[in-house]
Parts: sequence; C-alpha cells; structure tokens
Amino acid sequence: MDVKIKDLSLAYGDVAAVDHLSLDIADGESLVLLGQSGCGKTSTMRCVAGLEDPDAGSITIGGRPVFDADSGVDVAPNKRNVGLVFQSYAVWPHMTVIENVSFPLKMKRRARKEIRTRALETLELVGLAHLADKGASLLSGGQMQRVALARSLAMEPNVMLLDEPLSNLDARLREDLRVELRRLQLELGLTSIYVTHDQGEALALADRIAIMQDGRIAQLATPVDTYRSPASASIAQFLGVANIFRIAAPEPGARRLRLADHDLEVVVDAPVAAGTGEASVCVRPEHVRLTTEPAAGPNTWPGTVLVSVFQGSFARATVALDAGPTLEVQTAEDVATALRQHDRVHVGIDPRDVQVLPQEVGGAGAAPARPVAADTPDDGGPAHDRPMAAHAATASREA
Amino acid sequence: MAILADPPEATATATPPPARGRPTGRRAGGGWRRRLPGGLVLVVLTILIVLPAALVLLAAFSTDVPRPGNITWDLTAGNFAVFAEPQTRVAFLNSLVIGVTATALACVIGGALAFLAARSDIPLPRFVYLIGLMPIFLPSYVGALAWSMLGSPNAGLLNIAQSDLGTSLPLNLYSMPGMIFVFAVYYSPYTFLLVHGAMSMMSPDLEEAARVHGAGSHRMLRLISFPLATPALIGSALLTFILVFENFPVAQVLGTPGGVDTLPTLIFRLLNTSPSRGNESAAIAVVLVAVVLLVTWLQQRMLAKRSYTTITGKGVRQKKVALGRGRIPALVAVLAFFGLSIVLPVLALVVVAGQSSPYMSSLAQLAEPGGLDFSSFGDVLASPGFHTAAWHSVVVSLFAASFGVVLAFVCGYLVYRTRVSGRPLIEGISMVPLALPAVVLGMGLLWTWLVMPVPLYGTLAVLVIAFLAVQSPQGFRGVTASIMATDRDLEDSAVMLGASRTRAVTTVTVPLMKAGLLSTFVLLLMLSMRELTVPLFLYTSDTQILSIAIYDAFENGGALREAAAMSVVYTAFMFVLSYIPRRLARQ
Repeated sequence: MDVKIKDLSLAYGDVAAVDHLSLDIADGESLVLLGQSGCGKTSTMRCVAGLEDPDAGSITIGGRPVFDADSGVDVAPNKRNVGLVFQSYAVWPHMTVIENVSFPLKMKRRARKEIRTRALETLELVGLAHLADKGASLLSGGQMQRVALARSLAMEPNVMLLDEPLSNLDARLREDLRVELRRLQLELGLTSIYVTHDQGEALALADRIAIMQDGRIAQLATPVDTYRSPASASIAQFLGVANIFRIAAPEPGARRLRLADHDLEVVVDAPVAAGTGEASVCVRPEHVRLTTEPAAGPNTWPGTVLVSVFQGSFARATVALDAGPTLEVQTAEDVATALRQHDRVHVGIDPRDVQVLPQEVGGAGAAPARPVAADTPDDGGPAHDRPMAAHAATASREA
Repeated sequence: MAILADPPEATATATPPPARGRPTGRRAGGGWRRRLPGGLVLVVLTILIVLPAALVLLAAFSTDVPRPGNITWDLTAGNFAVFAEPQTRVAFLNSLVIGVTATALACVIGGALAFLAARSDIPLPRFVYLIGLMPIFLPSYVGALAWSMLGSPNAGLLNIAQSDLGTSLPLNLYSMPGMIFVFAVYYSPYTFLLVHGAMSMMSPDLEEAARVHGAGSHRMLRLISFPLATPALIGSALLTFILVFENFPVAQVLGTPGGVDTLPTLIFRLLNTSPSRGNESAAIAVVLVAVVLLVTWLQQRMLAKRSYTTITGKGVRQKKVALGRGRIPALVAVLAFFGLSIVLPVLALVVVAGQSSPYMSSLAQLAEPGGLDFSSFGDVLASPGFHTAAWHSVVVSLFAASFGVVLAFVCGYLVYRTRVSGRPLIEGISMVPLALPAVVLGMGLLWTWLVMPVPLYGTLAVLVIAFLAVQSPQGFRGVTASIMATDRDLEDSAVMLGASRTRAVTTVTVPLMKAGLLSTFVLLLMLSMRELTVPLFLYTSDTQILSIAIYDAFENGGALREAAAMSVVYTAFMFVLSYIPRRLARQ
C-alpha cells in the first residue's frame, strides 16, 4: 500500500531528528532511506512504524491516516499492520523458529492449522523450512535475519520496514541476502522502506533513493540518477566520490575553474550555471586515468605515487600532483600492481567526468564546513538548535 | 493529615514538563498518557521513601517529633546543640576512626585475596575465591555476636582458652580495635568482589602490551595491572567506608558493652532514653546523612574521572603471577583468614549453643560428660517463639521481595523503556535509600507509619513496606541491569507483529528477563532475611522476625544459648539461600 508522509517532525529534547519531512511512496515501491548515522533515517522509519511519537505532521498508509498531529490520530503500532525487520534481528531466543514466525498469525487469531501451514510456507520462502522446530537462539546471524524477515512477511504487512537489516552480517552473506531481498520484494510486490548507510545496498535495492541529511531529504532520485548526479558535494562525498576540491567563486559560463586551495585549473564540459555560489569540483576515483607516459588533452597533470593498494578486481592509488592536490585513483589491477611508491605518473580526467556541485543542497555554500543542508523555508521551524548555521545560510537560500 | 497534603504537591511541581523543544501541532491528548503512569509511581515512591526522609529532616529542625495528628512546624536549629555535648563529639570521632581504619584494613584484606584468587598461582584458587566471598553471607551482626562470644573480656571463649594455656594476651572485642577487626573482616568481600572483577576481566592485551614494550613482570604489575585496578579499589573503599560508618548492629553488639558509642548507636540510644531526645537524634541523623552524601559524591566524582575500560568480554585466560616460595605461606594466610572469618565464629556459636553451664572457667569443662548438650537446638527449633519469628521472617521477606521486584520492574521499565515524564525523579528517589543509613530510615519509617492515618503500625505489613523502602536501590539496580541487557527491539518487534504493549511485555520481555528477575528476587529475599536495624524501630512483640529474635535473645543476656542456636540455624539458612543466585547465574 502507498505511504504518504507529510511535514513530519520529531525532536529528541532540543535536537530535531526529523525536520518537516514529506515523502510519498507508491504502492509496491522500494524506497531506500540513505544517510549517515544520526541523519534521522531510522527515526523517520520508526515514526511510520508507530514506535516514535512525532511532534508534527501526518502519515497515511493505503489512504488510512495512522498519524495526524492536528486531528490527534495516532494508531497504535500493533494496529498498523506494518512489518519491521530490526538491525538486531530481534528474534526471540526463548522460542523456536516456527514459534517466532507464527507469532503475528497468532495475534491475528488465525486457526491453529492455518497458522502452521502459513508459517511453514513463509519459512519455505526464505529457505528455512528445515529449521522450523529448532530453537531460535541456535541460529547463525544470517539465519536469524531470515527468520526475522519471515516473521514480518507472515503478517502480510501493508508496508515492510527494514532497518539496516544486513549490517550485522559478514560481507559475503550481505551480498547474497541483498539479492534475495530484492527478489522477494519484487516477487511479492511489497511496498518497502529500507534504511541503510551503505550506498551499495541502496543502489541495489531501491526503486528510488532518498538521501537524508539533518532530518530532511537532501535528494530523492532513482539509483542511477543518484549515482550519476549527486545534488551536492557533501552527498557526492558520502556516495564515495573521493576527489572533491573547493573552487574559487566561478564566473557564470566559465569552463576553466581554479581550485580555491591549489594553483590548478580544471576544465569542465558544461558551463557553470549562473548563481552557483561557493562550489566544488568532484571526480570519482574510477574516472581518473593513470599513465606512465605524459598524456595529451585537458586536465592532465604529472604527479608522484604516494601509495598503491591491490584490491582484487581493481587497485587503488593515491597520487600527489606536482601542483599540490592529492588524487584518489581507481584503476585496473594490472596497471596499479606495476606501480611502486614514489613512481612518477601522469593522471588525466575527461572534462565530462568533472562535476561542479554546490557544497550543500539549497546552495548554502557560505558555510562549507558546517552541515547546513537543513536550512528550512522560513516557516517558523525550530531554529534554536542550530543558532549559527541559520544566519549563514539565509543569504543564499533559494527554496 | 497536613503532612499528607504536602509531599504529593511537591511531587507535582517537581515533575518537569516535557523538556522538548516541540514545534507547533502537538497533540492535546497525549499529556495524560505521559504523566499518569509516572505520577502514580512517584506517589508510591514518595510515601515509601521521601516521606520518611522528610520527617527526619523536619524533626531535626523542629521542637517536637512527629506524632499522630501532630506535626510541629516550630522550626529551630537548637537541636544541633547536641554536637556541643562531649558524647556526641566522641561518637563522631569514633565513627570516623573506625570507618577509616576498618576500611583501610578491609581493602588490604579484600585486595590481597582478590589478587591471590584472580592473578596468582596460589594452590586451590577456586577455594580462595570462596573464602574471599564467604563473609558476605554471614550477616555482620551474627559475626559480631559470635566474636563477642569469642572475645568478650571475661567470658569469651578465647580468653578462657588463654587462661587454660596460661597466656594473657589482652583480648577484648568490646573495644575500638575489636570493632575495627570485625568490620574489616565482614566488609572485606565488597573490596574482594570489585577488585577481583577488575583483575579477572582485565584484558590481557593491556599487560602483554607492557611486556612487549619492555616491562618485566614486576614492573608490569606495578605500572599497569595495579593502576588499572585502582578505580575498583577506590570505589570499594568508599563503599566500605559508607557501610561501616552507618552500621548499627555491629557497633551496638560490640561497642555498647564497652561504652564505645558511634553515631548510629548514639542516635538509637538518644531516641530510646527517657525522656526521648528524638529531635536531637534526628539532628545527628542529618549530619550522618550529610557525611554519607559527601562520600557518595566523592565516589561518583572519582569514578567518573577514572573510568578505565578494562572489560573486553572475551574472557581470555590471563597469565598467572608466580608466587614462588610464597605460595604456601600465602595459602596459610588465606586459611588463617578463613579461620577468623568463618570457622572460629561458627564454632563459637555451636559451642555456646551447646554449652550446658553458663559459667565456665576452662574449655576442659566442655569435654566433661554433659558439658556439651545440643538439646538447645531442639528446644529452639521446637519453641513457639522461634516458629512465630521464623514464620514472620519468611512471610515478610517473601512479600517484600515479590513486591520489591514488581515495584523495581515498573520503575525500571518506566525509566528505561518509556518517555513518561518524571523519569529522572523516579530513578533518583529509587536510589535515595542508598544514602540513608538504616538507623535514619528506620527512624523516619517509624514516624511515618505512626503518623499515617492507616492502622498499619504494629502489623507485619509495615515491615514489608519498610523493606520495600530500604531495598529499593538494590531492586532497582538488579532489575534495570536486566532490562538494559534485554534488547528493546525484542519487545518492539512483538508490538510490530500485532501484540499490544502489555502482551508484548508479558510474552517477550518478562520471559526473557526471567533469570534477572529471579536473582533480584532472591537478593531481596536475602536482604530482607538479614535486615536488623530497620525492623528494630518498627517491630512490636506481635511482629518479631528472626533477626530481631536473635538480637533480643542476645541483648537480654539470659538467653545466650538460644541466641547462639538460632544464629547457627539462621546462618545455615542464609548460606543455602545465597547458593541459589549463584546457581541461577551458572545456568
């Protein structure tokens, strides 16, 4: 069922965890809330679950209001029919696997026979039917997470919430379960909200990704768009764009941009739009070419290898350019394995791969060091919890 | 009734409004849901704990003690003139001297035993551990009682033995050194437990790092291992000081016959002289509490500053420190401590219980036919007085422990699992009795339940209520540790899956906390069984419990044999009881 979140706010003491957040999730859609810890993604999800008590806003699930601060609607979490898979699994160790999975069906007062059949079916779905009568405390982490998933699936939830469900598992298992989760979600047409701080997980599982910063959504887009064009330098950094350099305020239309902290000019493909305040150039490490011979063309510079590490299918190197800045480079393993420390190399970047991004969403470039993405429209939102960011951000506010 | 009107009002104002910078659009209906549960619990805690403390404070500053229908509001500071009297100053000084020296001695004993048990290659380490722990299971006043039988200046068994052997070492337990000795022995387990914990949980990585960086084993111990255990040592020293400083029974048993007053015994004596000097003893009580608060504050400060995380949870075996030629002498010293703390006292109790002639000039008399007659055990066990007292003890303790666990669960759940208003206050009040010496709380509870317009005074119910108040910190700590160890997601997931909150608590949270709740229950049961001071203020001839019965039989001189026999039975019972939680913990 579709979920509509409108103007949701939640504060812990003076700290705004969720700040006037609005979000529509379509029926059958998989939405991923992506962000660093403390950005409010889990709080948002817990508001939908009913485990937090928001201060303002409204939430409807399938057209039914489950929370509305103005009219005082607040449906108890157990009456929302929302599934939640916890990071800690929360599988009850004092029950068997099937007792865990049967629990929601028991709460729905289904007939005993039906409960067992349904529970076994659901366990089959996650591949654990053979462990049905085992004590839940004897399972491995991956198995526990499957039980947690089955338990929530068994209740046939209107919406499925998943709170970093894979983060306690080891890397290999995480990738397997990631694929399995996406398969189940598509197969069952589940509307789901998935919370994670892992960009790889987000890209793999989402129909749309909502990147959260300071309790608000900083960017809402498909995985491909998010990956290709992050909305700001801080989002780019979070998404693994390792080469980010501040530039001196550019002339509108300029194609040659001077770095703010180094004596170096970068050529970009698209002219800089008017009204770009303080901004950065951003380049993904995999877009930097590495050669031992001098290369021709724009954006080629000589430098020295500081360190190079082999990572299997690729290798990663840190190169100090003679002009000053240090670049992170990702290249094919055969190129990098030949590299030694202190080797002289040349790097090149295609101008099309250089992005010019504002420091933060909303164009609040005046205070690059501060997370000011949360600057809000002047609607009387709580400004007291960020006294200094407020005035720094007002000047360049546009939303 | 005036007294009743006041505190709940104070509670209401002290309950802070939700300190959340809430934007507009807050729901109007949510208020009572946040306030009601916290409010109800606060009312209960106020009656249990705040009221008694407030009455003692009031009495200290007024001209008359609280009586039914008569609360005096004539305030005066005159009661504190009692500190100008020499007896008060001497008692204060005695308390300080005994507190400091007994603490130092207890730390030496406990710390040494902890090191030997945890880190040395002493033979029989598990037995050494038990020896370090055991004195905690003997109620300190039973230990004091036994030692008074061993070391009273005239009739003490050890002194009789001396005359048999022809030695004449001055052995008099009815003295400051005697009290210090008994305190040190029976309070050393606190240091032992804490230091042993710190030493055995210490990550071996920390020590190995010292070795890698070039320290020899002596320097490693001196520079790394012992300093890492100091927070535990300091913490236990301050705890021991508080326990000794406020202890009443040991001081009463050993100090009073020799004319050595401490603050707690002086409070008790002033309250019970005729005419009663209740206001002045309340004034002394206030000073006693002030000292305890000061030390508690010091403890918090020191521990906050030096929190060394030594716990890794890996449970790795550490290298043992080789004692070399000291191995056997160390074991002998440990056994000597065992003799002094447990064997001799229990032996003395058994001998006195069986001693047929109250006057004895030589231990040889015990060996004569009829010299030892253990029929006293049978007499005691069969006597209706013992039956009633034991029955009362069991009933009161069971109720106190059950209600105590329920109260602690409700408080702990509200504080750690909900957002009801007044949570800091609930936690704060639950912990208050830690800072209130048993004499002070006993006095306050006496006045409270005399003044209360409900006819509970003189019933067993009032003892249950008193124990609930006294043990609320232990209950709260025990239950909250268990609540915090239980992941709240486990309960929330039941709610998400369709269970109501109550159902989730009963089907998931409580079953998962079963072991923790059970061991808190047993702990409260034990504490109730051994508590003497508080019931001493509240019991009547109809509501005697076991601890009081023993104390009574001993204080009233004539019934020494019964006192000793009851003590033996009582001690055996306590040992059995103390075995249960360790059994539970092992599961």
